[in-house]
Amino acid sequence: MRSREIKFILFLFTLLGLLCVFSSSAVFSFEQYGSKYMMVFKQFLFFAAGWVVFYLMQKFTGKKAIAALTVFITVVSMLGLIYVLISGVRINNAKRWIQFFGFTVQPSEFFKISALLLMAFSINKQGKIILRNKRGVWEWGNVFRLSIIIAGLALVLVAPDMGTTVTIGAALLAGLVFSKTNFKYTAGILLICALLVVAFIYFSPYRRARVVSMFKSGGGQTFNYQRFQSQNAIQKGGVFGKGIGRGRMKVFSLPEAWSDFIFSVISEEVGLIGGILLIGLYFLLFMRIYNIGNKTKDIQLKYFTLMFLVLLSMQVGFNIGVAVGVLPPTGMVLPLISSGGSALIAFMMGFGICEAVRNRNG
Amino acid sequence: MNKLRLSIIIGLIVLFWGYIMFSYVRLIANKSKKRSPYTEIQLAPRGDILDSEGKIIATSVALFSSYFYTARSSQEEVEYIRRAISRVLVQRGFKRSLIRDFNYRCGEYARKHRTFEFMSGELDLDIHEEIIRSLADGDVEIKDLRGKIYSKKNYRRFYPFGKRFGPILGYIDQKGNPPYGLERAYNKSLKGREGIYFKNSVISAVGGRWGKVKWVEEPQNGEEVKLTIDTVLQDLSYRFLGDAVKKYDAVSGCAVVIETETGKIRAFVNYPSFDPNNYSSYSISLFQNTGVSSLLEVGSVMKPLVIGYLMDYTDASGRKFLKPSDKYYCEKGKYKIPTGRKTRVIEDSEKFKTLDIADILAYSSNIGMAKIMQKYEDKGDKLGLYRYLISLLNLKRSIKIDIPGYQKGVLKHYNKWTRNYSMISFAIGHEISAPFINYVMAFNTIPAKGKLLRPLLKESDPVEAFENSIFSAATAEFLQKAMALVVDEGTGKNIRNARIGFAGKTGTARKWDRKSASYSKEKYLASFIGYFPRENPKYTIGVFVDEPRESIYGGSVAAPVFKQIAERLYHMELNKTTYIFKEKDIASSK
Repeated sequence: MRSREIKFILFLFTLLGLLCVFSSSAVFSFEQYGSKYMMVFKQFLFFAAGWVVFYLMQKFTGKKAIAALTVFITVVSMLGLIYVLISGVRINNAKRWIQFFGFTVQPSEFFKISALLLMAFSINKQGKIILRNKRGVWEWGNVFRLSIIIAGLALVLVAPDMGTTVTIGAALLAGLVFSKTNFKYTAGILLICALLVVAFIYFSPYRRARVVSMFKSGGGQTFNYQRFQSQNAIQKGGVFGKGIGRGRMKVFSLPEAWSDFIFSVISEEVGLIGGILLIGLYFLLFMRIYNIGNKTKDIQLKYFTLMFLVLLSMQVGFNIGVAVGVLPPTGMVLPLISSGGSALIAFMMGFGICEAVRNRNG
Repeated sequence: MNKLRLSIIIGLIVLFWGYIMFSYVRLIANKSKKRSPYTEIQLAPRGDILDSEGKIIATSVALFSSYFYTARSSQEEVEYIRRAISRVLVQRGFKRSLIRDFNYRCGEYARKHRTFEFMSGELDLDIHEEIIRSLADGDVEIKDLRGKIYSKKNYRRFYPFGKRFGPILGYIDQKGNPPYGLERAYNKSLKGREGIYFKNSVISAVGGRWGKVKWVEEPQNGEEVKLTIDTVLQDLSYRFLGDAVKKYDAVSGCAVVIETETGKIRAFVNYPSFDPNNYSSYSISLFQNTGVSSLLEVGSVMKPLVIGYLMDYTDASGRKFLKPSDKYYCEKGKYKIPTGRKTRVIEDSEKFKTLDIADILAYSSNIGMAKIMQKYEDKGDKLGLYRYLISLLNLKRSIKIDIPGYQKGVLKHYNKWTRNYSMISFAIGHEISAPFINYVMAFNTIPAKGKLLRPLLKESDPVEAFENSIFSAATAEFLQKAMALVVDEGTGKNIRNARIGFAGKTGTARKWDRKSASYSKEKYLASFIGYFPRENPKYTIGVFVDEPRESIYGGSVAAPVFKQIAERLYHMELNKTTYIFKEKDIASSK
């Protein structure tokens, strides 16, 4: 039974995700495609693909296999990011997507996994990240990996996709703090990153407006409109909710109800209790991943698992924070629940690797 | 792996999640108190705004919107109630269209909708009760009126004096927010707190009579605010200012009356103004109070204020810089000053020869001021003058006036002053800009013997002085004499009044033209700031008229407004003996 736990939780999420996407997108889907099942059908295909990826990934138990996988994902996601920069599809004023057989692919989601893998492989057996060893010889492999990470983050940032950059950055920094790298360097890098984030928010008018709108009440502005509608939906749901499928706000008043603000729809329909149950389910998932990471002997895979945990929890927290109205809108999806293929497949890939690590432990 | 580092990260994640969960629960907790299907919000009436005498100048009127809950009535009952209500409405003389709309809604509409609103915000309590009574007395017996007709209380803001108080009070918009004026400034105490009641308790009470409401939280009425403004004076000022603006075909005007000793604003009017009862039909540009929100260069009004500083200035050896007896040759009306590449020509309105300080002020000689400033510039003490101007016109301090929209004035940093140019400009009121209220308060230092007061609008606010002696008592006395001379002999002589004794300073300033980047030769700002009575000043009045035509001078456009207001005010407040009309007077006035 224990060996199936993570799969079981993911299976529950599959059902919940399909239900939530159906509930939140039916009206829009009917309006857009002429069938209310269209979007949920797409989501079903993504889940199918996600499960295939998951089963493939958990076969990669060998260290070399994972290394090869890393190279593959990195190459694909970096090429994707560069392609996005050149001729990506612009949706909501951000270039993040590639058009692909009628589907839109978001390479930055796959870059998340590859960045974490690259970071994990930069850590040596003592649990340190070093660029030069004691004899003064450069570790070119590490330099190469870290520069790819920085280049990728820069590409994601110019997309522009501040939210994803911050989540990946936070996970990587958490990895840095876990590792036994010299405290001076760690603190320095943390400080630089904090300054960079502040500078990026300050020098971009729309980001500043979003952050400022967090502290101002009243409607009118678009960002405040989104926040207001989302809070309104959550408030209308109350403690017990209106019942599944009976939410009102998702019908054209709540923007992006099926991806960014899906939590508001859930909360309107199943209330505080349902919302807390969903968050509880996420915490079960977090606990499983933490246990896997804790038991792993291999230091690199252990760090990967823990960084993945940080990434996942940050992303879930960010999405809920935006829906509740305490964080500025970033366009980040709720993992496993929101509609959208790239994020789903990327996360299934991550879970697959975690499962592979667990299989390695035996 | 370092356990400490791991636990730091986990701790941070837990904190992050804790914050998010806390906000989530708080969001829902807030809701369940305020909005649930069982409760409804009752707005609280806004507090009244009173003038200094206790007259109401803004009040909230309760109005009812009635609801007809047709879902619980049979077809006959609906028809019966419809007839009874429309009979009352016809008797009360409501508009035909309203009644027709009501009748329509009771027919087709009622079958489709469970409930509908009628006469929204049109009924007062009296009519609502009459409707209920007529239903109860009707020949057909309705067994149960419960929950069929009920009403909701709303409030509408009403301003009895309309346009006279437009820009100073502001208005309340449709959402109940005050975007401008004192309504906004005192919103916190005025607005009160809305109450929450159980909907059921109202619907089930017969006809929704008030008083049987079950409160979750009772509404708290807004507090009263008493202003220093006097309605009669406000009205007078508005009329006289309006007459002047119309007569000289000007763009706008503003007048302020303050109490000299306390800084209490007794009247503050703008023309053109808007009616806050019907604000939506006016242009948005009228909503701001130009006396605080637009930056002006007032011209010669600055002269006595700069002289005030120079009179007190002593150089290093302790000698006074300026004595009242000093004389300056005024170049017969045209004076050329070389400034860099160009020469600057300063002109006077008349060809003066030699004037002493008081005469320079009285006849408003620009050349005289220019020569004084040139002499001062040789001493090189820029910093002193800079600091003086800053504190006099409140340029750095955000002045504590309650009217929203206050703009801080502008003065170039003293390192950037141009030689032979900037200081002269300040002395004749250019290159320095501030809202008009600041000039009035600065000018008020002359009658108030050097005290720079805070302008007060709320009766309960304590008198507060920003500076206690901006110049010495001797200087103040000299300036008072000079200001009297302005009215007796100088530029303001057409408002002479031997009985009351006015004193003040005229100002005629060219307006800065942005297009040509120079001072315009067609657009002027005419102003007058003065006080009365001369010996024992009680009131200070400032008037400005923007872009007057035909006549452009402060002495001929703005000063008469001052005179008209001041004469009435004198008889109202200071000379309370009743005046007996004689036949002779009446004949002469004709």
